[in-house]
Amino acid sequence: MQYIWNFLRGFVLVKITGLSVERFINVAAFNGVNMWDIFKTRDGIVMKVSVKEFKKLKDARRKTGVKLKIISKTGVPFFLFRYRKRKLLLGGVLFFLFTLYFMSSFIWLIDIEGTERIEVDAIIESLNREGLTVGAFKNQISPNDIENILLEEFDDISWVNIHIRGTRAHITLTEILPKPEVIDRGIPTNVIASKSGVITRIATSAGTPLRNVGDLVQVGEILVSGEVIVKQDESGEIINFVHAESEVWARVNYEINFLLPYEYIEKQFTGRTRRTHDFIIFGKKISLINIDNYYTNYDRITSTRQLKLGENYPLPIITVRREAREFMPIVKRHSPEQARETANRMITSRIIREFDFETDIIDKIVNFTDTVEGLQVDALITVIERIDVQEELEY
Amino acid sequence: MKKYIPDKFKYKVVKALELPKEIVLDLPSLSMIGNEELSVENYKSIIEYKPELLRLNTKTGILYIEGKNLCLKQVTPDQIRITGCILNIKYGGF
Repeated sequence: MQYIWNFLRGFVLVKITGLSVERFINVAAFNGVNMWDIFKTRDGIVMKVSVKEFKKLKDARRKTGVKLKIISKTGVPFFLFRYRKRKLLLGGVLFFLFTLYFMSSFIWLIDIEGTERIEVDAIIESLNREGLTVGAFKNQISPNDIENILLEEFDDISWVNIHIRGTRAHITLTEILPKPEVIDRGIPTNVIASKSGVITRIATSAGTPLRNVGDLVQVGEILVSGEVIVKQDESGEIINFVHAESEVWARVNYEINFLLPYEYIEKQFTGRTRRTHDFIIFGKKISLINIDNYYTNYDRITSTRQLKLGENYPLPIITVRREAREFMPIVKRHSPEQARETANRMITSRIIREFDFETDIIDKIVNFTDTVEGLQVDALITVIERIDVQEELEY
Repeated sequence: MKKYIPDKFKYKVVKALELPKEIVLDLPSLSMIGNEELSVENYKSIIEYKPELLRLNTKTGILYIEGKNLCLKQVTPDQIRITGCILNIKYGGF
C-alpha cells in the first residue's frame, strides 16, 4: 500500500557519499524529510526520497557537506514527464477511459428472478415497451415507474423490484399464490359418465342418483341428476335444481390388440462414431465436417445448444452437436416363448404409461394367437376408475 | 555509567495518573516483530550506521542494535524502522 502511494507520488533513489552520512540523515529527519530503504554501500548510502521532499535535502547537504547523486527516478510524475510529447498516447488513455464510462452507462443484461407461472418473455416484452431494453441508457430508466407498470400489467405479480447494478438490470419479483379453482355451486349440473362400464361404487353428496351399483352405463349417460324433487303431492311437484356432486367408480374394460412380428432387427453398435459441431449463426448453418452417409447404418444423435447472454438473452448463435453411431443390423427371430414375454412387457409398459395412479387394475387377460406373420396379442384389461364428469344442466 | 534520572515531580505525576511514559517523559518506545523488524519511536539521532551495527541516541542513553544486513526501512523525525536480522539490542552510556 505504501509502495503504491509512493509510486503515485514519484520517488528518487539517491546516493549519498561523504564523511558524515549519519549526520546528514539526522539533519534531514529533523527537517521533516521522510526517507526509506536506506542501505549502506561501500562508499556511502543509498536511500529513497519522494520528489517533493528531495528539495528539502538541500539544507542538510549544505550543512554536512555530503554529495548527492540521483541514481534513478521512479513513479507516475516521471512517467508522465517522459511521455509528455506523445499526444496520441494521452488520447488513447482518454479514449479508453471515456469508452469505459460510456459503455458502462448502458444496460447490457437483464436478469429476471422469481418467475414461476408468468412467462419471462412476456415480462421482457413489457420491459422493452417501457424502455428497459438491452442497450438502453441507464439514466433514462426510472425503475420505480417500470415497477408500477409491471404491477399494473401483470395481475400475478405481488411485488417487484428493479435493481440496476452496473450494466445489469436485476428484476426480482414475487408471484401471488395461485387462486384455488372455484366451483360455482350455483350452476345446476348433472353428473354424467365419461366412460362405459359397470358401476362399483357411487357416493352422492348432492343431486338425485339415477343409477346404482352394478348398473351398466354408457358414455354420456346421466348418473346423478341435478333435479331434486322437493315436494310431490296432488297439486304438483316442486323441483329444485342443484349442483349435482358425486364420486362414481366403475369397472371399465380396455382392449389392447397388436401383432408382434417374430422377426426383428437388433442394432449391434460397432463402437465407431463420428462427431461434429455445426453452428447456426443468424439463421445460417455452417457445417464443418459432413458426417452423413459416412456409415451405411447409423443412429444420429443431435443436441442443440443456444449461447445465451445472462439467462434471458439468447445470442443468435446455436451450436449443434451431431454424432453418428454405426451399427450392424442383425435380423433375429423370437421363439414363441420370447415373443410372449416381449408382448407381456409391452402391455405392462403401456399400462404404466396410460393409467393414472388412482386407477386400480383388477384384471388382465392376455390371449396369444400364433399366426404366420407373428404373434397376435389380444389383451383385456379391467380397471376400476372414476367416471364422473360434470355437465351443465339445461332447464 | 550515569543513570538517567527524570524530573522527580513529573515522574510521580506520570506514575500516579498512569500516563504513557513514552509520550510524557519522551522515552524511546521499541517494538519488535520477530527478529527482523524493529521500530524505535522517540529516538533523538543516528550516531552510527553500518550494516552490522546501528547506534541511536535516545533520552535514556545510546541504543546499540547489532545484527546482519541492517537497513533503515523508514526514517521520519520521530520514528525509525529497522529491518534485517537483529541479534542484539542493548543500552549504553551517554
